[in-house]
Amino acid sequence: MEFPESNWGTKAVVGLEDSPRSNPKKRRITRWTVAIFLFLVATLPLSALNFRIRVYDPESDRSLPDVQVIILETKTRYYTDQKGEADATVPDPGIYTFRTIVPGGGLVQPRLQVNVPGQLITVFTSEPKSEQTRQTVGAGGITVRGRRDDTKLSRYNVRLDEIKRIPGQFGDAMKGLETLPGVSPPPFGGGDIVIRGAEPRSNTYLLDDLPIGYAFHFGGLNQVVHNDLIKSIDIYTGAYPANFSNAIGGVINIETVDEVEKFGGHTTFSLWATNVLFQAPLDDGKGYWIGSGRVSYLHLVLRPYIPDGMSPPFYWDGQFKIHYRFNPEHAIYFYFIGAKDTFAIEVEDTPEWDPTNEPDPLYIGAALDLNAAFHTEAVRYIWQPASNFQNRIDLIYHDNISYFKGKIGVYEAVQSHHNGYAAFKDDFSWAIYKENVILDGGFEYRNFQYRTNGSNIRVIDPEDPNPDPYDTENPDFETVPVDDRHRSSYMTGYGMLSFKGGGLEFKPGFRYDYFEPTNHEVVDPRGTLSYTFEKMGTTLIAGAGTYHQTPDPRTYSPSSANPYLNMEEGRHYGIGLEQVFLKQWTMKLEGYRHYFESLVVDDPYILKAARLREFRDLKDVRTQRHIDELIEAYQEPLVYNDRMGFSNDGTGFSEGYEFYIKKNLAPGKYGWYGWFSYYWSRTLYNEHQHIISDEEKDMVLSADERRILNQYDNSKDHYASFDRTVVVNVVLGYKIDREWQVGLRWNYRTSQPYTPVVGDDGGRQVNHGRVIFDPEYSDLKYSARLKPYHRLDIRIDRFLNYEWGYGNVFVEVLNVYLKKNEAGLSWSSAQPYSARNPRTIYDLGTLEQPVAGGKRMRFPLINAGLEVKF
Amino acid sequence: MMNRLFFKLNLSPLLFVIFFSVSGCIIEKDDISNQDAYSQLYSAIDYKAEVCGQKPGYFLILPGEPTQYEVDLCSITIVRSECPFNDYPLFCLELYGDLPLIGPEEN
Amino acid sequence: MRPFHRIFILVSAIFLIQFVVSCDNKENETDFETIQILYLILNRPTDIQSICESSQGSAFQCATDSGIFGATELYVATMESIYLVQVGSPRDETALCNALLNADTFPDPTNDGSTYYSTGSKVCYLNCQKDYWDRMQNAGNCTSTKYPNLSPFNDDTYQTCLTDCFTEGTILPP
Repeated sequence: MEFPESNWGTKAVVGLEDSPRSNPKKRRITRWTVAIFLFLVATLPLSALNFRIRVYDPESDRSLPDVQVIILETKTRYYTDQKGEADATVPDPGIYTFRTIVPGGGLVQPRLQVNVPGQLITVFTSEPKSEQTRQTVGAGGITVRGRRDDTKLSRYNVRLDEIKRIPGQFGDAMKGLETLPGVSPPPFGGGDIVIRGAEPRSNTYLLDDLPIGYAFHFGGLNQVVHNDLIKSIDIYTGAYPANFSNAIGGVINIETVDEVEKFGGHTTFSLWATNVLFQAPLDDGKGYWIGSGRVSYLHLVLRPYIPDGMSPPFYWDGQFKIHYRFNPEHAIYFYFIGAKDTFAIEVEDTPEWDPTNEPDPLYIGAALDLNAAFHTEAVRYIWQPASNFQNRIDLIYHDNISYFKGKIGVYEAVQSHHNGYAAFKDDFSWAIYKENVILDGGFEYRNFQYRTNGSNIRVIDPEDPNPDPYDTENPDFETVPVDDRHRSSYMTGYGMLSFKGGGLEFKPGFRYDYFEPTNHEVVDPRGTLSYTFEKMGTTLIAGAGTYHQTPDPRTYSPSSANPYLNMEEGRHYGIGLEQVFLKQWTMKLEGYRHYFESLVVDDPYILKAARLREFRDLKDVRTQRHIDELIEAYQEPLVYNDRMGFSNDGTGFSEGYEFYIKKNLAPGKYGWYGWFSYYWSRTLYNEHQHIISDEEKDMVLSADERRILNQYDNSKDHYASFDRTVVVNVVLGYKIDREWQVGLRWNYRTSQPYTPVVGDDGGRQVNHGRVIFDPEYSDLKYSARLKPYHRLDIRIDRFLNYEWGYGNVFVEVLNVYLKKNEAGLSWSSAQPYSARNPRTIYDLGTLEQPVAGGKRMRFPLINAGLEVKF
Repeated sequence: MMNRLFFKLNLSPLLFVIFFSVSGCIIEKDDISNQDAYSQLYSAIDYKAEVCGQKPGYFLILPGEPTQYEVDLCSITIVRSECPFNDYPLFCLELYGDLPLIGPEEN
Repeated sequence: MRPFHRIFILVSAIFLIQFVVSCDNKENETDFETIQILYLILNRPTDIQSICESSQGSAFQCATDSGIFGATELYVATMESIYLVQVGSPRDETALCNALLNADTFPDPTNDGSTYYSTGSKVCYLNCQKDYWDRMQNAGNCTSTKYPNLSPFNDDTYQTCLTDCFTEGTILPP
């Protein structure tokens, strides 16, 4: 939450008068200009006006040379000299638009008044103050307090311009989050991130505090939000404050652009998708609208290369935001955020003359049709009756929709799934005593709406290590019809106090959560404590908190899963040290320990002694199957020993330390910037399920005896599937001049662990006449690792500056030194276990071209794109 | 507008990058070690021998370092061949020389 | 004291209390898993000897009712050959059960000698056999003409009874 009121383009005009921090020199200039203006207005000379333009960067407190300034009305262009000034001419006195291309590609275009010959007009290239301690004066004289500095521990804030041009991420800013400490990519994550050992599903992505269903399109090809809608991203990796709910991992809060001065836009073209953004002010700057979207054409580009039966991913997304400020006290926002992905594949049984060309026999005859979408609509009303109080009300509707149709062997399942909520939310912030005591609070009521219908396939005998989906005589699987519609409530509220003074900052807070399906109720304490030695620029920080997250509705479905699940729990502890030096450098060292409890895990053993069968409402009875089910439900209203499939038995633990050093570069400045991050961690999980031992495989037990034995938790702690011991990132960018920028990124990471394959099942299954070998895994789960992964990517940006904006052509070269990185192990079901099965598969970081003699040529992957801002 | 954009673009540094990248390519052969090849082939032979109750009266001896393709072809055809298993499938000859119309051409 | 200070102290106190006191009512939920397991453990079969004697008693009864001379002895001899045991004298239910319960093998086709049969699994066999012989008795099959054809091993219901006992069946009350 923040309350931006500043409009730094127009502030260039008013800033001289309004800002008490304007330097005396500027004030003198103003008085001088006003005096001359008054004198000249009287004489009214009607000839052309010669004046000087100065481009000034408040961050570095200096004027900028070699900057292009275009006066839009006269379509004339000027470049600043070594003093950062330029001579200019306009035909008449009046207000003109000074479009200024800031070094690094940014754009400011204040409307400034030219009155008298010889006048010095100053164009400010950025906000007069740093974002961290924003405090601006609104139109009504009300002091608007920013909350950007709300926590120091385990929080990293990155501006769009810092992460947008990181090499190797195909222009997607959000992929830059992977370079921050405490963050690592999961194997085959498709853009997902692991934050300090929490599973990716335990993180929450927010866009202006509103939910988004998923952050990346299919396979991580693109993010779901337009780059230029993003202003900055806050990532909270641990012990985050009480204002965030329903996540036990980390929080990624995307802050969108909140000021639009004139109609403009932005578009980017790449090999597989195009995106576009338009924006315009409303009603003389009282508000604005921004609309953006993306559509992919990968399916068209790849059409000639794709085998029959497969339709490659097709996706789109859209974001729309309207803001209107009625007066300084009342403002309103409307939001729409949505995305959709489709993908389908069908593997036909077409025998090949060359059996190595056939797909894996496991998948012959298999089909998969996958659609995913989400949409969020919200209305936000902000009321600010006084300078020290602000209240925000949100009405939110959010829905995640997925459609799945899959076929493997003789089984087919179709599911359509809606999982969303409607919510009412209120947040307030009250500065009780100046900036020293601040109270933040709020509550939210969510009504989860969950709907699934179709069918589900599950293994009949959970003890069966190799269930055979191709066996029609003694089926190992069963199809369970699913038809769930349920609504459940989640209520949450928080309070947070901030005490500041004399370098000390203490923020105790709590959050209350109530999860209606199981009446689970918790109060979580959270807090951070920090002390800053102002002279030394050193800050010591510590924090801790308890967090809860509601389970996935699929796992607490009353008809096919476990309706008795509780919320999952996380406990975060962290300490750290932050050192600021040489103005532009920040160094941070942090250590953490996170515990996870009551994690929802697959539990093949958990039974419900008896439950009442679900009775379908008579008005919903439409098909013969519904009638049969209803008759069955009346005849046998109780289901005994029903398997529920999921339990809260899982636990986890993660510990680590992080080192981060960053060289900042103020927006609009030339030079180099970048960061180095080193992250060491260890993450262990335990599902607390019974693992069938070798001795047990030779035991004949009655069903009840097995039930008792299955409660014996003999599973051991194992590394998480995404555990990486060391992750190192080096990101460097160099803004050479107005036209060129280069960047590099080097990434090193320990590979994820895997469970070694120790044999095969002897080829017991047959699909379409082809024998299938199933792998047999070692009892030592996740006990082996692939070789470390590292690669270097570079990127070159060329800017073409025009009066209407700029064009940017970029080229990225991935994996410059051609490291053959191991991505995982692949098992071929067509062959038995051997030294070459499973075999290592490699990362796509390089392209391969077969050449003569059974040889292959490898070269770096090159990506190019075109970006236009107007 | 677009034309001007491309026209104004000085492509030489970009071409340099592309040239640098392509010239930095690596050529590698698709060979696998003899030991791995034997392991893969004999796991298939052992499986088939168990299913059919017999195996060819002679050992399959590799002439040199075969390619992954050749070994895959032979081992999958062994697994999928019909009983009785008294000789190795024809495709295994690819291990000894390039069969016409099968797999990538060798020079 | 100024009103502001009162509010300030009150609000701070509430927060500090909340900050140190956390609550979670999760523990109040009934743990069905534990209850079920305790029930199963408390009710697991322990007196396997009497279960066996009751089961074999039913078999003996059917043999006796058939009126065929030496039918009981024939039954014991059959059990000796199937379970590879030696039954001592007197060759009654007790002696048969003494031998059976210590038998190394059970008639299981996958048994390669290393398989271990638990008490519960033996109870499955014994109970299903008892069920079989009682059914035969009630169906009037324990006669001189029909008895020679009786064998639980050819009976579908007996097989179903075994499958049920080994996979899904339970003594958990409905």
